[in-house]
Amino acid sequence: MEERLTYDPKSPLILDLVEEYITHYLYEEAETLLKDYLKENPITKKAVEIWMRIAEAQGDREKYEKLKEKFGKIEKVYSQEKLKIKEREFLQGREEIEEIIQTNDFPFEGMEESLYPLLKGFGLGEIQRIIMEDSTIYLYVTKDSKWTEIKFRSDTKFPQVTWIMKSLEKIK
Amino acid sequence: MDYEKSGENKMKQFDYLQSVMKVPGVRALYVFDEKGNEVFRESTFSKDKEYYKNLVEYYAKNRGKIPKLFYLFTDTHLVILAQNPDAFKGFVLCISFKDTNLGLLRINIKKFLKLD
Repeated sequence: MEERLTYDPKSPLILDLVEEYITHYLYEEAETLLKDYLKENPITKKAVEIWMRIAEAQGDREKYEKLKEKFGKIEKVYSQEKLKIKEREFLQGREEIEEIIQTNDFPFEGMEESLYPLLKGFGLGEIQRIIMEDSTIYLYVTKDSKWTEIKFRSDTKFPQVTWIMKSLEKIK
Repeated sequence: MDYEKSGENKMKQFDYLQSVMKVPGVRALYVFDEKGNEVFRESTFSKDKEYYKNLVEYYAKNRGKIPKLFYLFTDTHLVILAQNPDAFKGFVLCISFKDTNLGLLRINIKKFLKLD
């Protein structure tokens, strides 16, 4: 009697099975199983890494390079997300912070245009962070053309703000 | 402002600006009056007027609406923009390397503008 192998296509254990196939030189089977798995699951670093192993074993250089590129992109997204989580966790624990707002635009209308010739002309580079000090202190941090506005409580001392800014810079 | 007219206070103000220039890493310090004229200039940049022209106009147009102090950080530099219309109708522009002693710059600029 023929034995049929059934499996749950959503199970992450499938990746272990794919690796098992690779160990036994069953590359085509491994790739088919991996593709089936990816129909039901989001692409992950591990999945692409396994796929790269298959392409390498098959000697398919072009496929390998494409997958390598894909792996690089996924890794970038992963590290960015990890960074965001770390930053959020750090800021959530700060008593000095009153409010955090995300915005797409440069925080001060009309100012960016007036600063641009100065920054470019003197070769100073692009603005990464801004501290605005008035009756209240604000810290602005930019990433991927978006700005995070951090409003501090009125009794916050300036050195506390610079310390938070430097701590954010150090998070990697 | 009145204290600008007194010779003694003028000297004091000048001292604060000189103190800013003594902080290692400072590359330029400009003070503009309300008409946008340079009233103080110490700079390592040879060509500059065309680069700060737009900023001077922006400050002239928005004097009352702009916050008193801005510290703008790039990867390599720190640009400080400061004003206090109650004491002085112009504004201060200071450019330094990023790792300059910000505390010292801030104190002296604030003293110059009577923001302390």
